Amino acid sequence: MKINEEIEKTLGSLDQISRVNAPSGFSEELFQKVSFVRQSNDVWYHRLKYGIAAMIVITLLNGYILTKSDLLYESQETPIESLAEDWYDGSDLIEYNYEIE
Amino acid sequence: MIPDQTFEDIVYEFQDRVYNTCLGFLKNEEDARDAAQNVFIRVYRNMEKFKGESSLGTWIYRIAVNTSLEEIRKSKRKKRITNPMEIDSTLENQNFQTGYFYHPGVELENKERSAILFQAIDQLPELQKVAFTLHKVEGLTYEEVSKVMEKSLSSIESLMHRAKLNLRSKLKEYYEDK
Repeated sequence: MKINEEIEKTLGSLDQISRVNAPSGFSEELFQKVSFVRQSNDVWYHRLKYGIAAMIVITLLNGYILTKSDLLYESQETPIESLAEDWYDGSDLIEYNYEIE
Repeated sequence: MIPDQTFEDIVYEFQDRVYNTCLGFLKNEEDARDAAQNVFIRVYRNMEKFKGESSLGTWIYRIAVNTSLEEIRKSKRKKRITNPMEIDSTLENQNFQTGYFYHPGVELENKERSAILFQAIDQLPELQKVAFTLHKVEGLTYEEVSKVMEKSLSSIESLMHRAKLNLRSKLKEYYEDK
């Protein structure tokens, strides 16, 4: 019986609880943290912005170098081709047209 | 989107409720302060995503509950890593050995009893603990609790009923052992 009374009293011990206010300086500390979050967001935004710009420049530069080198190759004869031309001028190397004695 | 309210307005309006909710769960003023600040940082980061499907208060309470539960889980994990034997024994025995918490909002005459009750609440299953804490410590109605927990009114009634049954049985064990 006594235990049941104790239990009921304990269960009811939060009935008159009042809400606790946030500690003093809570909002000031929070606003400082938020301004830090805001700044770090800005820092990341700027880093990202510069990073993307750098990637675009590198890609464009790469593309330019590739097209430029393709043009160079097209205009140049490879040594093996020029060698073939030097050695083969259109006439047969072996003379077949000889008379049998 | 949150119409016509700056972040500062939101902080001033909800800081006591958020802090009190975190304190009810974490039972430590320093932890509650840190958790409440994390709640508002989350609110700040997600203000643009708030669609107004629930009231702003409900949304903030939800963040406060989730943040507090995450903190509890984190500290349990930490304890398990640093002292596995200690956490095992508390989990097995589910006893009243952990430190007492004297809630500053409780009247002096009820301080001792409420500290015992807080320890019993700590041992409740998570959903029962959330419903009981929001209703008893934060003073929300069942309807408000149902909105915060995104559950029907009848499931909140059922959770509260089971929470009270569990608390009675835990308190009975405590007073019988005493």
